[in-house]
Order: sequence, then C-alpha cells, then structure tokens
Amino acid sequence: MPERTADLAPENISTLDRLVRSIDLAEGFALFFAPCNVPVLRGELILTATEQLAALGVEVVEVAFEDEAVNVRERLRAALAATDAGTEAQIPAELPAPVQPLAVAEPPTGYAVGAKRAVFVTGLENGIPYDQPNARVLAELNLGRDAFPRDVPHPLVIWLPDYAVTAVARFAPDFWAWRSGVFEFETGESERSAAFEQMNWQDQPWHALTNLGRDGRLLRQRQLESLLDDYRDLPDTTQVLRERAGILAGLGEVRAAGQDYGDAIGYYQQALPLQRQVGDRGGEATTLNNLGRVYAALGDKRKALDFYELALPLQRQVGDRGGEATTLNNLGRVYAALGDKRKALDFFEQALPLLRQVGDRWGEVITRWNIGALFLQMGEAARAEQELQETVELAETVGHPDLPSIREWLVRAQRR
Amino acid sequence: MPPSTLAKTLKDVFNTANPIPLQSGDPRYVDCTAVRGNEDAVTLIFNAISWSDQPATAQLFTGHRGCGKSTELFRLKKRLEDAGYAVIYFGADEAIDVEDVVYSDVLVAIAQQVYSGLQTLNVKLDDDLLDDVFAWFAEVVYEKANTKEFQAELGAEFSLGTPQLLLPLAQLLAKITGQLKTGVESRQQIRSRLDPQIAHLIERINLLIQRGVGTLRKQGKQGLVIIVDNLDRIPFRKLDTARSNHDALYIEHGEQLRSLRCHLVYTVPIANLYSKNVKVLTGIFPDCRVLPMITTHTPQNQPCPEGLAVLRRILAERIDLAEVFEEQALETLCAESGGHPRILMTLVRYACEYAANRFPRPIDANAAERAISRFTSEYSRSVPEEYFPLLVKVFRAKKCDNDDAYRDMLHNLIVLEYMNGLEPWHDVHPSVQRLTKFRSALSDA
Repeated sequence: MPERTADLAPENISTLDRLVRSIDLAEGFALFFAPCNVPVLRGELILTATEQLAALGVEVVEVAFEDEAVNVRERLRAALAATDAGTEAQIPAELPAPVQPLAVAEPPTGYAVGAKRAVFVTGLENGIPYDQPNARVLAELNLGRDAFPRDVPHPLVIWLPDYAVTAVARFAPDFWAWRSGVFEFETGESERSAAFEQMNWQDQPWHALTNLGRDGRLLRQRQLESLLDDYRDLPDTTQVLRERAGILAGLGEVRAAGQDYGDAIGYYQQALPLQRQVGDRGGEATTLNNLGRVYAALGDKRKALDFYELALPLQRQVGDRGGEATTLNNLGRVYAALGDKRKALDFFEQALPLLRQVGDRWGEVITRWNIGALFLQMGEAARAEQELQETVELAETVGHPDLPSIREWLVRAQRR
Repeated sequence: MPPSTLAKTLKDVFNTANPIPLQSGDPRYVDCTAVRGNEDAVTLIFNAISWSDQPATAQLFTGHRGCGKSTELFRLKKRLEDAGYAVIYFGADEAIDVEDVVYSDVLVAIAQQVYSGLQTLNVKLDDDLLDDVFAWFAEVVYEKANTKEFQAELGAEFSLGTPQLLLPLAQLLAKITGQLKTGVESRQQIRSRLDPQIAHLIERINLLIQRGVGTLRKQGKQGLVIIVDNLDRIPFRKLDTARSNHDALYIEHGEQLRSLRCHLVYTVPIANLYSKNVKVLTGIFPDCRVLPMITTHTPQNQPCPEGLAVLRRILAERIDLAEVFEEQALETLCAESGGHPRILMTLVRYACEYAANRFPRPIDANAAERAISRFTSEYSRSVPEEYFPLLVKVFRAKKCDNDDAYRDMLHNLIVLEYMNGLEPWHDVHPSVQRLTKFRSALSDA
C-alpha cells in the first residue's frame, strides 16, 4: 500500500487520509463528495483508499455508472444486494426490482460477515451535462434524498468531476446539504498530461466517434469537459494553449459526430485562434477542414468550400499529405453536390495518389467510391461499374465498414 | 438521554452530529420557540385545528430547508395524535414526482394516502362506496366500463404485490400514482383525463374522507388531519413570463387543494412568500406558518445570547461539551451556523476531522476555524457570481425584495430569514460573508 501512495501528490495524500478517516468515523449513512477531474488519478485514489480501508476492516463496494445514471438509489440498492449474495450467499429480504445491467466490482472476499462497508460511486457525471444543470439525475438525488439512509446505510462517497459537484450544490441543494465532507483532489502536472495523452484526440476521426455510439460519445464529451476545466486556470504557456486547443477541437469532433453541428462550430471557432496563436498550422488546417465538413453537413456548400480552401495551403505548407488528401476528397464531394462533375472528378483524382503515398487504404476506398458514384451520376454506367467493382475488392481486402453500402452502389451500376 | 451517553469521543461526536432530521419524541429535541421569534409554529397549527369548530381547515407551513421543518411536523403529528386526532402524514417526494407536479397529482396522491391511511387506522369503509370510487377511477382514467373485468386484470398485475395491495381500489390507486410518478407519456394522458373531472375527483376523495371521519368519530377520534411534507422541494420553474410552477400549484389551484373535507397542512417553499403573488397566496391560505432560523444576531449585527444559548443546548443534548470543545471553538461554531441547526451539525462533523490529537477538548479554535473555512469554500459552489452585488444589498438592508434571484438565495440557504420582534428580516449566511467575492463586492459598493 505505501508504494502506491508514493505516486500521489502530497496534498492528495493528506486529503485522502482525511477521507479515509471520515469513513472510518462514520456509522451508517454519511454522504461524502470527492471532486476529481482526471479518471487516471481517480482510479489511483480509489485503489489506494480501498486498500487503506481494507486495513481498517472496511469493505469498499464500488459502483460504476456507465450510462446516463437514472434510478441511482435503486441501482445502488441492487448492487449492495448483489454484493451480499456474493460474499455470504444471503438473499436480501426484499428482492430488488429488475435493474439495468450495471458494472459491479467483483465481490471481494475475505471480509468478515457483517463487516463495515463503504460505497464508492463513479460515473454519475454521465447524467450531468456540463451545460444543462437541470439534469434528471440531480432532481432524482434531491428528491429521493430521504430514502438514501434507508437504502444505502453506509458511508457513500460520490466521485465526480469538479463541475458536476458544483452542479449538485446548485441544483440538488437538499442532497448537497446532507454532505458530511467534500474532499477535493488536485490534478497534478503529470496526471493532467497523462489524461491528455489518454484522450488521444488527434487519432479519433469522426467515423470512429460515430461508431462509438451515443453513450460512448457522451462519456468522451464529459472527459474532455473535465479536462478543459483543469486547463482553465493554468498560465497561458505555449504547451497549455496547444493542449487547450486540442481539447476544444476534440469537443468539436465529438459534437460533430453527434450531429450537434452548432455546438461543434462553437468549439472549433474557440480552438482556431489558439492554434493560430501558438503557430500550430497542422492543427489549424485540421480544424478548418472539420469546419468545412460541418458546413457541408449543414448544406452550406459555399461556406464549406471557403474552409476547405483555407485548409489546403496550410496542409501543403506543413506537408500533411494525408490531411491534404482528405480535404481534396471533401472538395470533390462539394463540387459533385454543386453539379460541377468535372471539377469534382479532378479533386478526387488529385486525392488518390496522395492517399496511396501515405498508405491510407480506407481513405482510398472512400475516394474511389466517390469516383464510382460520380461516374454513375454522369451516366457512365460501365466506368462506374468497373470503379465500384475494384472498390468493393479493395474494401474487402482492408475490411472497410462501409462494404455493404458500396456493394449496393455496385448493384445499382450493374442495373443500368 | 442520560448524561452518561453523551458523546465524548470524536467518533461519537461525528455520528451524533448527523444532519438528518430527528423523529418525534427524540430526547435530543430542543424547543427553539423563544429564539425562533416567540411563535411556536406547531402550537399555532395545532390551535387552528383544535379550536376550529369545522371538520376542515387548510394551513401552509414553511421554513428554510434543513431548519427543522420535518422535525417540527413530526412533533405536530405526535401532539395531534395525543389530542385524539387521526393523522395521515406523507412525504410528497415519495408519492409524487416533485420534479414535474401538477395539482391533480397531489390530489390523487392524497386519495391514495387517505385510503391506505384509513386501512392502517383500521377504518373499514363499506363496499358500495369502494366500488363506486373504483368504478369512477376505472372509467375516467382508463376508460374501463366493465369493473369486474378490470379488477381481474389488476389482480393479475399485482399478484406478486404486497398484502396491502390485495384490495382492488388499492391496486388501482397504486397503478395510477405509479404511472403519474414514473411514466412521462401515461402521466400526460392521465392528467388530461382527470383535468376536466377535477370536481368529481374531489367529490370522490371527500366521500372517502367523510365516511372515514364518521367511523373515526365513532371510535372516539376528534377528526382527520393530513400533513403533506416535502412539497417545498418542488424545484422552481418558470412556465411563462408571468407564472411559475409554484404559482400554478398553490395559487391557480389553491382552492382545489384546500377543498378536501378534513384538516390539511401543506408545506410550501419559503421563497413563495417572496413572490409577487404572495397576496393572492395568503388570500387563499390565510394561515401560513413560517419556521424562521434561530436568531444568532440582531439586525444591528450584535450577537444574540439567547439564540446562541439554544444552539449550544442543541449540541449539549448530544455531546459532552466540556469534554469535547474548547470554549472559543464552541462559540465560533454556533455563531457561524447562522442559526441553522443542520449547518451546525455539518460544521461539528467537519471539525472532528481537524480535531487536535489530545483529550479532553480535542476540538480547539484551530479545528473550528479550519472546519469553517472549508465550509465557506464549499459555499462558493452555490453562489453564482452575479449574486454578490445583490447580497451586499441584503446585508446592508437586512431585507429581501420579491424577486426571482432572492427567491433562489432563500431556496439555497445563501440568505436566511430571522424573526425577532414582529417583522421577519434577512441576512446573508455568515459563511457567504466570508467569501472573498462577497467582501470585495462589499468594499466596491
């Protein structure tokens, strides 16, 4: 146990000590909040606290909410009942109502029957959007307050990002008023950059985010928002500005993937000046290209063209051939939509060699698909069929997720 | 509680300083009447009921969250029962979705509570009446004309239920309240069907009540009192520019709420007394009792020894003061609570964490000071930036305007209401006064 605490900053160690001490003091229900913005740090803290409490004979039951966190109290009760069943094969007197699947930590073993427990709750922030304080989960906590001592007769620690704790204080004041302690954990330099690295924002293109599904995107959005919160009060060094811009751009991508185009534009527009300020032309070009995509999705073709044309020279300057190919492909699509098929084909054909140079075979599938579709629109069924036939083969080779749709286009070409 | 069981160790202090309300008859209860403005709200409500020659009265009860409302209502219930009344007490939050509530939800919840309450009180209602009420709800809410068939359906639905739910009307009311509480779509449908029939709904509830009261009287009871607690937790929401959900409930439908033929006590948010429509509200409910804070100081910012002594007694009922506190620490904690018993408990809990490692008197001035500064910094989460200039005004004038921002401040315990003398007055919570932003707003103003 001591070797792990060595990784934590001294102020976090003493805060954690106070938390452990309070849990040790409390009998029955007592409510604690633990604001902590970075999942990595939170994981470390929970692990350390669990070990320290185990040494005091207190068993920690961890309940992680991975969805929008409704019916919190019922699900906590069910999780506790499940732990009972796991540790001592005891059926609770009142069977809990069927609940949604919920990640419950493996029932720990080796605790005495009737050992004191503490309940750690994580993930409630999934139900507390950054900008919509009137979240359902807050109302639920506030109004259901009185039933908590009955259903969760143990010390209850709620781990949340800082913004979400403030939302609880403002919008679930009755629940908040019952707190017996708030333990604020500070994000240190190393945890912050670890979290930043983990977000890996540049490697997450739109389609990957779209595939994430709604809950996945929501989770990512919350993580980015808490991370942004951590960057808010830092001095404006180049490093900080660059990373802040990256987070804003990442938020733009998540919003765009969820088709919240207005919000996406807002985030991208905040990222742009920061990227310009630190001279991150590659990042700036990516943001411009993404803005173009958002406007294209909104049907504003003129604006889309403007942004793509701003992105292109920057990508060429920094030698980002992959990005350049994407922008060329996107330009082709806008011209195709505008009915200028010559120009469209010209852009697609400029994109192809670049995609091959950088070995982006998924990108190649997309561009060739676009070319095949364009031929079909131009009434050149034979060329379309040949192009789409080759695209289908390539898509099969690389395992492209859009393969079924491309096949449909091929069938369409064959029917002409 | 005999002195020997008073908390002496930090662990015991931590656990007895629990911010959760006391049940009636708890020996730790301290009568705060004298320092809450010399008017005992419970006595006033009790007298209005017991002095009335009518079987029905309607009163409102309000106070800050956590100031002891539920504790006082438990006391009221006990006192009424001792005087021979049958009391049905329920927390609105358990029966209704307080997040989205309209008056008809409250009435249906009352119908259910009355029926199940009468069963608990061993009042048997005759079958004709129950069948009539059942048929009415079945027809209006579910458009079921065939009573027998519908009873069988319900029976199947509730076959796994608890024994109280064996009777058809209990099943039906449980189904309706359940759908009102959880189902967003079915909720709208039920409301739209009940709305045009409200007069009939009230008539049915009154039938249940009047028959019930008749039987209760034969058993020697004085009458029936319904206490609806926690209705004050309804989150404030604007419905349009002129009205709020609070106005819609208590003002637009106040007459319906008060039309039941028994004694009624409803809780309302304290902020309602500071809305522009307060005159209309008190027109409908002339009897509105407020439970103010315990007075810790005067409007002239001078300490109020009587109030501080009561706070000290609240602690003395739980803790061996001489053993646990340094005198200075105890005084500071009492004053800093703003006269709010739950905040006092929270502060004492916090102080346990910072207590010195020595006995006796582990909670010293340093521990108190650190507990207070932590509590203060937590307050900064509840106070939005734009409130500070307004708070300076309250601090200077010791008075709130009827305005939405002040309503929120009262609601979130940023501003507290006191009463010594006849007029209520207001002040900024001591912890909020410690915030840097408040102090700079004060020096700017």
